[in-house]
This record gives sequence, C-alpha cells and structure tokens, in this order.
Amino acid sequence: MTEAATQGHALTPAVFHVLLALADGPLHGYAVMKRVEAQSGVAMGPGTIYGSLQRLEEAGWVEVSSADGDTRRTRRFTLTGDGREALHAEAARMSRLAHLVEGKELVPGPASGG
Amino acid sequence: MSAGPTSRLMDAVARLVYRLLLLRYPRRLRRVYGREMEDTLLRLLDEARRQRGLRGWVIVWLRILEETVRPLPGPVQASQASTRPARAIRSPVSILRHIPVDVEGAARTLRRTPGFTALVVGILGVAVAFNTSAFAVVQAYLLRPLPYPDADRIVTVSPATSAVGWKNSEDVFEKAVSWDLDGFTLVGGGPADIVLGAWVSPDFFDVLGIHPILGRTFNDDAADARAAVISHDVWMRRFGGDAGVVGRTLNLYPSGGRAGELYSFTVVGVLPADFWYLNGYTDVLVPRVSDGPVYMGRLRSDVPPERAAAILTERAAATGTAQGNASFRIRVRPLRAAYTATVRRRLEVVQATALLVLLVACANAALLLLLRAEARKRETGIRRALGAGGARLALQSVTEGLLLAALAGGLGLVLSTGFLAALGDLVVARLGGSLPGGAAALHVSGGVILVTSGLCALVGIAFGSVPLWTTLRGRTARLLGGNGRGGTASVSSGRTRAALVATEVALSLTVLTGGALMVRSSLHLERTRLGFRPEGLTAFTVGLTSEGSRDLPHRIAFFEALAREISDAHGVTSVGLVRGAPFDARLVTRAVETDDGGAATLPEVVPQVVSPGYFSTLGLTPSRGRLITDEDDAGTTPVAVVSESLARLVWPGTSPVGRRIRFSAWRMPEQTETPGRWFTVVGVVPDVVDGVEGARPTMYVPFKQAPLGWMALVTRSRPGASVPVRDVRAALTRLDPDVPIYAHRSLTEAVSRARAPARFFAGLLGGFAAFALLLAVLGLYGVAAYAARLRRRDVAVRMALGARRTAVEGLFMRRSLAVVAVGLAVGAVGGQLLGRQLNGQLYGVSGGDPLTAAGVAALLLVTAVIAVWVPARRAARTDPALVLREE
Repeated sequence: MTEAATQGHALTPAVFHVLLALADGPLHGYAVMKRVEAQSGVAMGPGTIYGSLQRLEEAGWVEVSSADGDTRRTRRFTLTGDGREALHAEAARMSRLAHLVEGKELVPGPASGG
Repeated sequence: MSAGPTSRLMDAVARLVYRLLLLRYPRRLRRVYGREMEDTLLRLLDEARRQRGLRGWVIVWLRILEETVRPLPGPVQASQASTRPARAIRSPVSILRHIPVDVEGAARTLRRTPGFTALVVGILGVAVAFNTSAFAVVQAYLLRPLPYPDADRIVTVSPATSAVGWKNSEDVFEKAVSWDLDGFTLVGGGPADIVLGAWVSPDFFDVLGIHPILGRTFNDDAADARAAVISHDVWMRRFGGDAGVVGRTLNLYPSGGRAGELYSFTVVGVLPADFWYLNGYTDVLVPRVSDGPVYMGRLRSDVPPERAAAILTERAAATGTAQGNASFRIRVRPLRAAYTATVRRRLEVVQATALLVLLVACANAALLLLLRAEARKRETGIRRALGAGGARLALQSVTEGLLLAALAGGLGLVLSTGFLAALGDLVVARLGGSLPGGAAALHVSGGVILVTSGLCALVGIAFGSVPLWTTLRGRTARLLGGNGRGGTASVSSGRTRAALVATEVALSLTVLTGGALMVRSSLHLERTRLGFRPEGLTAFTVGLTSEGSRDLPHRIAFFEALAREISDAHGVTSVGLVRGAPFDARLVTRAVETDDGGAATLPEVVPQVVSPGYFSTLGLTPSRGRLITDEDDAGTTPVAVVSESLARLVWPGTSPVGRRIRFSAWRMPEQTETPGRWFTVVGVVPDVVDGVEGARPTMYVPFKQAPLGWMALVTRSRPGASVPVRDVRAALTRLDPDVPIYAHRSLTEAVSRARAPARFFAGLLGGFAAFALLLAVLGLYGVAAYAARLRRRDVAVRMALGARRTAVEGLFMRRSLAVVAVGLAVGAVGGQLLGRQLNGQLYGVSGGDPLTAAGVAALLLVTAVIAVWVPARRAARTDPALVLREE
C-alpha cells in the first residue's frame, strides 16, 4: 500500500474515473476513454486520459502490458493492488462526504424536488 | 470520387494537426503514448462522423482544442499539487466562460497601447482588404454559378465545325445551339442605329433557361422565320419601353454575308433587363433556320463532357474536318471555362499575391506581438508566479490575437467595400471578359464575409500563438530572473524572431519580383515605338449595309465620297480608309503563300485594305519602292505594300519589290474562290504596332482592288481641333441616311485603353509589392532595434573596454543580415516560381528575367541594410557610461 493511498487525500476526478473504469478489468486507452464517458457523462480527450494513465503508471497504481509483443500500440492498462486500494479509499471517502452532505440536508430530496 | 482517398487524406491532415497540438504536452507523454493518442483521436473522429456527421466531427475537434489549452493532468492526488486548487472535470463549454473576461482583458490591453494596436490593425486590415477584394472578384468571376439553370451541363464546343450541326447532335446534346453573329443596322423610326445581334437556332432560349418579360421566344416552325426577340435595351431605346411592342415591325440590314438586303421582322418577345450572355451579341435575336455548327449546348445527362468531346472529334474526323491533322481535337468545355479563360490566370495571380502579402502582414504582426511580449516578460512572469495558469495566459494571448484579427477583418471589409464600390467598374473593364451583372456583381457578399472571417480567425490564432510559444516555454523563474536583458531566456524567442524576419523577407521578395515584372512589362508597353503618332487620329467605323452595298463600284464611290467630304472638314489635315485601324480593331492574321518559294515557313499575315491616303494620315513613308496610289484600281495589276517585318520574314536578305504573294485561305471581297489573286509587291513600309502584342507582319492591298463594305475612316486633326464627328454624321446623312457610324474612337485613347490592363495590374501588384517591402523593412527595423536595446549593456561594456564603433555596428549587422540573406535566398526561388506563373501576362520581359530578380533582391538588401544599420549605429553611439549607470 502506498503512502498516498492511506492518507485519504482526494483523487483528482480524472484519476478517479480512470481508476473506476479499470475496476472491472484491463482495458485499452480508447476503451478507458469510452468507459469514463459512459460512467461520468463527461467526455475526456486523449490528452487527459493518457496523461492521467501515465501519472497512474508512475504512481504504481496501474500496470501497462502490451499484447503479443506489440510494444508500440494498443497497450492494456491493468489496475494494481495499490490502485484498487486507492480507488476503494476514495470511494469510502466520497461516501463519507455524501453522508455528510445528506446530513446537512443540502441535497434536494423528493419533497423539495418537485 | 470515392470516399477512400479523401478520408485517408483527412486522416493524415488530422494526424498532422494533432501532432502539432501534442507539442503542448510533456515530451515524456508524447514519446510513450503519442502514437496511441493520435490513433485514439482518429477513432473518435471517425466514430463521431459516422454517428453525427460533420457536427459530431467539429465537436470532437472543439473538445480536443479545449483540452489542449487546459492545464495538464497533474499528480494523481489533488492535494499533492501544493498551490493549485483541485481541478474539476469541465465540460467543453466551461472554458468559454472565461472568454468574456479574456476579451475584456485583451481589449483593455489593446486600449492601453493605442499606437501599437492601430499599427497592427492597420497592417493586417490593409492586407485583409487586399484579400477580401481579390476574393470578391474571384468569387464573381470564377465561383458564382452562371445565371442559368443547371449551368454545369451547358458547354461550348471549339472549334465549331459544320460536321457537328445543331440538327444532328441529339446523341450528345439534349439541346444544341448554333448562331451566326451579326451587326444589324436598325432603320426606320428614328436615325439608323447599329446593334449587335445574332441569328440563333430556336433552342438558344431553352438552353439558357430564359423567359422573356414580354411575349415569347421562337416557335420551332418555319412560319416563325421572321420573328425577332429584342433586348431590354433595344426595347427602351428603339420602342420607348412601349408595352405593345409585341407584333411591331423591326426593319434591319444585316452585315456580313446577308448584307445589302432589308429584312423585316416582327417583334415577338423582349428579354429581361438582366439577361446576359458572354459574347454580348444579344440586342436583336432572329431565328437561324438552316443547320449550322454547334457552338453551345446542353449536354445529355448520360453524356459526360469527355465522351461528348470524343464523339464529336470522331464525327469531325470522319467528315474530313481534321484535314489529316492527327492531333485535331474538338474541345467540349463548360460555359464557365470558356468565359473565364482569359481572366482566370490573372485572378489567380492577384489572389495568390494578395495571400502572400497577408502572410507577410501576419509575420509582421506576430513579430510586433512577440517584441511586445518580450518587453512584458516580467509581467508574464509575475502573473504566472501569482498563479495564472499557462492555459489562461495562452487563451489570453490567443484572444488578443483574435481580437486584433477581428478588428483588422472589420477594417478590411470596410476598406474593400469602399474599394469595390469605387473601382468595381475599372476592375471589370481592365480584367476583360464580361461579367454577369457587371460591376455590381463585385461586392462583399455573405460568402466573402465568411471567407474573410475564416481567414481572420486563422490569422488571429496564428500570430496570437507565436508569443505564447516562446513565453510559455520559458520557466517562470527564468522570465523573472532574466530581467529582460537577453541571455538564455531569449534564445528560443530569438530564433522565432529570426524565423519570422526571414519569412517576411522571403515573401516580400517574392511579391516584389511579381510587382517588378508587371511594372517592367507595363513600362515596356508605354515605351514601345508605335511606328505612327496616334495624337489627333480618330477612327470612324462605317458599315455600308443598305441595298446596293453589294455592288463593288458603289462601295468605292461611297467611301471615296465620304473621305473627300471629310478631308474638307474644319481642322482635318488628312484622311484615309483602312480595314482596321491600329489598336481600334484587331484583325485576324491569315496564311500566305508566294510563287517563288521564299522562306521555308511563312508567317501569318494581317490582311489590311487601305486607301492611298491612309499611309500619309499615319505618317508612313516607304522604305523601299512606292506606296499605293489612286491608279491602283480594278483595271490594273493587283499590288501590295508589305511591312518591313513581313519582307524580312518572307524574303530575307533580298528586296521583295516585284515578288508575288497571296492569301492561301482568305478571300478578298470580289473573289469567289480561294486562294485568290496574286498581289505583286510594289513597296515596303515600316512596321506599325497595332496592339499590345506588338507589330505583326502586315500586307496592305488597295481599297479599289479589294473594296469592302465595312471600313474605318481615319482622320488626323490639327492639334487643338475638335474631332469631326458632326461632319462625318452630316456627310453620311447626305450620302446614305441608312448608314450609321458604328463607332468612333480617338487612337490615343485606343492605345491607352489597350495598355490599361497591363498598367492596372502593374499598379495592383506594384502596390502589393510596395506594401510588402514596407512591412519587411518595418519588421527588420523593429527586431534590430529591439536587439540593440537588449544588448546595450553588453555593447557599453565592449565600448568601455575599447571596442571600435564600427566593430560594434558590424556585430549587429552581421547577425541581422545573415537572417536577411536566408530570406533573400528563399525569396529568390519564390520569385522565380511566381514569375513563371506570370509568363503569359508579360510584355517585353520574361517571368524568369534575371535582371529583375537581381534588381529587386538588391533593392530589398539595401533597404534591409539601412533598416538594420540605423539602430546598430544608434547602439554604437550611445555613451557607455550612461548605459552602465542606468541600473
């Protein structure tokens, strides 16, 4: 477990969504992008996706593998144990935050929603 | 066109553009994932295009652009970035929220420096105006559809041949048109009047989709052979716009083959006022009943132009039209191509040159912005240190560029609207070739505004991002620490500056070469010795069309009487008759043959017909033998006087007097078969220049031996005397009231008008060139002055240590002039390329003329040396003590 993952600092949204996209299994960069768009509803360009992936790789949260010796293209990105943990930590943190917000009754409920 | 190559090309372009954008990302990322990112983008684009068409494609690009100006993905955890707030995932529009602020900021910056803003906007505005005006003309002539329905399928056939008649071409044409152009003399109901018209086959109106505003067009039956459709102009002029014109009678004498017979037509229709056809022979249209060569037609939808050309060529060859010429081809071209043939090249050259000037202006504006950015380095550094993101600074710089470009675009549109309004008529007249709608068609249209806006956006982004490149790459600390005093911080911007200056010099030299070539060509024309003095000469074209005009003795009597009467008119010193006066009518050359062999290849010769008085009126004296006299008439041996160039070409080294020559395929009026009679050469006269192309070999035969029905009466008036128009009119009324003056023109004016297009284009390209030169000098001076300021401490130290002034000056100049030299080398190549494009437009100078190339290079070099020397000298003259004490 990395130090960062235990400190409970917020992940940048891009990083969080990339990690989330990889939670179900290894993906190519393009598939990561599509998955992020599907789950967040916001399109991120190749610059953001690959930039984040490279950061994650450097942090040791994501592993890069190329299929069948094809080193130049279409690499697959796999979540590492650290990455998975960081994702869980972030999810827990967000969930705590969500409870906090709900407790303040800031989220429009069914009653006030109309 | 298949989708394959197009989409492959688009992919390649997209990849290239994205590769440039990727430069903004760290090299680490580019090296590892660059290729994959490109592939991803292509997939995105492809997908978007398939799902949502062009709109989806544009949205992807907008998203990508937005992403590139956004901050880079930072460390994985937001808190690790010490000072920056956590970044939200922003929708593509979020960055647009900054734009009002940025525009306001940019506007404030520009207002703070009104001189700078005015300079940049002025430079770009003028360059944009050049382009907008040029594009408006290009659009009107080359891009706007012709005013006919389904105009793409209307084609012209050349050469027209009787093998391809309008009655037997159903296999190629849906509807084919033949005509016989004619000059009609309208008589009865007012003074005689000459109009241009034609005998057209009935489908003329259908092919062009014309609906008359009154009445109808021709029926297909023979009973309609005496129907006439008149132009709006004739309707107004001849019939006073009478609504009951349909059914009225139009009496006219045709010219040419049908001359001498009065025809009576019944007006059946009136053409709309805005009707236009490129040859202009549309004032009176009467039916052509007999078969005749197809000139124009609407192709069948299943026959493409190439097939049509092949079929027609084959048919013509089968009937022997090709006369054994294996390379004989009939060309089938869209109507537009036929009418733009003469102007296309000129317009392309003007538009291309205008674009080059715009590039020079862009480079210049970029330089100015860059120099200002350098001056503001500290400010930028401070703002970055205070947390302004690179993206915001970038966006601001580009916003400023776009704002300047928008102002320049506005100025350009205003200038070109004014230009087109003021000079539209002149442009149409000088370009030659007729334009549907005339000068009014030249205006700043929606399309022009659209193109200008696009151009301005490109321009704005282009030069707005130049300072960005250099300043953003400099680290904050370096920006602050560099103290604006040179050293490593300005190495990259120094390189950009050098590249911009070299570009400016290169493009300017290219434009200068083009301008200089056109100016030289025009000067060549102005200085050409004509072989006669045009001052005081007037040519009246008179056509004998009435009954009796086929009678040759009548022709001789009529024109001799006319000449005699006018020679007595006030102020007239001399009178002559000629088939076509120089610069007034351009006669077609004809092949000749001799009976004594002579030169192996004989020139094409201008067949001129003259009265004895013509030579004295023009001031031509024989250089050998004698001139034509009154005794050379139908009863004596046919004689000819030849021009010196003809003598030289046909009988090199010997005297032509006594030799015989004849036209091999041109008939004199009284002859019934070709080739006609032999003419014995009796004299030689100096060459007469009869058009901008220069003197052509000419053969003069006596009017009395070749009496034509149409002649030009040339008069020479005493200086200050008025042109005898009234006398000619009065004489004509006495001699034959049905003979009008077709046209009268002063030859001085004719000469000037013939030279005017060259003068106009010389002025235009010369103006472009002068502007480009000015910009280049401005850019050079600005950079040199900046460099001198930047290094003044350095210079002061050197001077204090005893360096010589000239050595210091030399140091500066060497650096700047090295850049200039690179620019000149590239520009020389550009100049050659442009010159090659100009080749068909030049008189007396070739596009690759080395003297011109060397001349403009020298001019640019000298001005460059001055522009660089002035600040260098100033730097070297500054008192070192003052500079060193400054800080």
